[in-house]
Amino acid sequence: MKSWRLWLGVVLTLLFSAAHAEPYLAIRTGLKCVACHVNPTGGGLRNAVGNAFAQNSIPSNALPEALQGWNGSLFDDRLRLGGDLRTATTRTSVSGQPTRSVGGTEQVRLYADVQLVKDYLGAYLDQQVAPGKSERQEAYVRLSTPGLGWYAKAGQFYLPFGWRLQDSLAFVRQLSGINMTVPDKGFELGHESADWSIQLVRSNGPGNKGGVTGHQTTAQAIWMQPWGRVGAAAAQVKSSIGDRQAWGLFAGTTTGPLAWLAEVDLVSDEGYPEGKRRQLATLLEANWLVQQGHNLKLTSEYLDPDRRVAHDNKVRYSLVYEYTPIAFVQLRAGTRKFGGIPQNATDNRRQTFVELHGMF
Amino acid sequence: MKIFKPWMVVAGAAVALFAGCGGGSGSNLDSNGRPAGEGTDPNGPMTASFASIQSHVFTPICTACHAGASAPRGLRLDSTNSFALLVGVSSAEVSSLKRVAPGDADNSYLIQKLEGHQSVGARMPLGGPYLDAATIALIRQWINNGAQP
Repeated sequence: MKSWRLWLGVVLTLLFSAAHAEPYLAIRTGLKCVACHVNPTGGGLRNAVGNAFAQNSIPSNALPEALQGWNGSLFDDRLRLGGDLRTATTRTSVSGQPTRSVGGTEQVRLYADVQLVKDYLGAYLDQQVAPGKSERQEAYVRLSTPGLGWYAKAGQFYLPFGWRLQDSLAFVRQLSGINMTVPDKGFELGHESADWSIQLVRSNGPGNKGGVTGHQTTAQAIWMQPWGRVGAAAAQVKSSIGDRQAWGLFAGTTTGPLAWLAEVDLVSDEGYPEGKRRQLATLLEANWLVQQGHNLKLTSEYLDPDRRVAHDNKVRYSLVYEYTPIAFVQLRAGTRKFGGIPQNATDNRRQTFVELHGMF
Repeated sequence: MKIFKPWMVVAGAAVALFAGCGGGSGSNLDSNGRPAGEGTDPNGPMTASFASIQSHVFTPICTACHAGASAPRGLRLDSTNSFALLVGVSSAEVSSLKRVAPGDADNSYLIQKLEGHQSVGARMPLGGPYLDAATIALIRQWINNGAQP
């Protein structure tokens, strides 16, 4: 590769790279998260296969010739760089209130992965540099056997629990408290084989800060089959303010042009003023591959914020069109309809949005 | 010959996804979705008092995430814990700022998060809708008046 192509690739990578996985892509292709991502549990920086997939299989048009061949790595894959830019304009309508529009940068992130001992020891960094002050999201060292049969991570990282959706406000991600905005510090042990992906984590617990002490244990297992995959996850928080247990079941499969995702999460949390609160959240998502580069996403979500209280459930329906004209850019436009108790107008709002994602 | 055409599969998916129920009826609940009488019902206009801010903002909006044993950064904004975890407490993200500095709304982390200042990271509520200027002004007024319980 000519040097100017290398530097052009570096610059573009720093400007635009996919930050977040979308699990439907894994379901559609039958690949594991680790097939395309440096992080064994998915999301963030892509590996060489992920970069090739992003350039050739997702967008509707080929990259300009000058950028073809770039796979994100430097120094014989000892250093891998990436980044993510996401901007959005959102219009919110609440009954009885003026319609409001908000736009701007949602996030800019930079990634780096260094292989200190190739195929055995690596260090990973995910730094959010905007909006606001620079903030470390993930920073860990990774010890692994070649091919990632077994691996261990130590440091700060996102916990494994259910589908790693880019929509951190999905009810299942909000209720579980485990999403791509809330990292935790700890130790993760993982195993990857043809049929299984398994993680066990011991961490501080994101709520155990300040005067609150305790720890969190999180476990997840995913069974991979030709027809799809089924996973189960559990998290137990020991906390001086009250313990919390979360259980999740999730699955994905395809029917014709549709890739389906489903998840059910149950939470029992003693950290509420009235005592233990049991909560339930569900997700059902269909992704229609209209044609290469065009995906139509329909999502139906349900939340019961307190199982002991009747008539308080919430719903959230989304219709999102994702257009990826070339490998570096994705445009998303969609609408969401929220439903809640009639006494609360905000819980019954509507949103429309347009988003621009930089990808590489 | 295929029995199901792609459009039939997609139409079936749409029906399956959107044929679900709407939100709860809200019967016997206050407007925060809690049993009537359990807390302060936020009916009526919001004022620059802590109880009103709690029932109009913290309980219905912030506790969607900031509650329970996994509350981000340990910040629980339910009615029992919010005052003690906000007023005079250093921010976990920017330790030089108090979450609520009584008498000084401009230098209160809470206000900076709600207004989306560059120095404190992502604007809250995460993903919106953000609070309108009038609501933030009342929170500012409460802080500048001394942030009384």
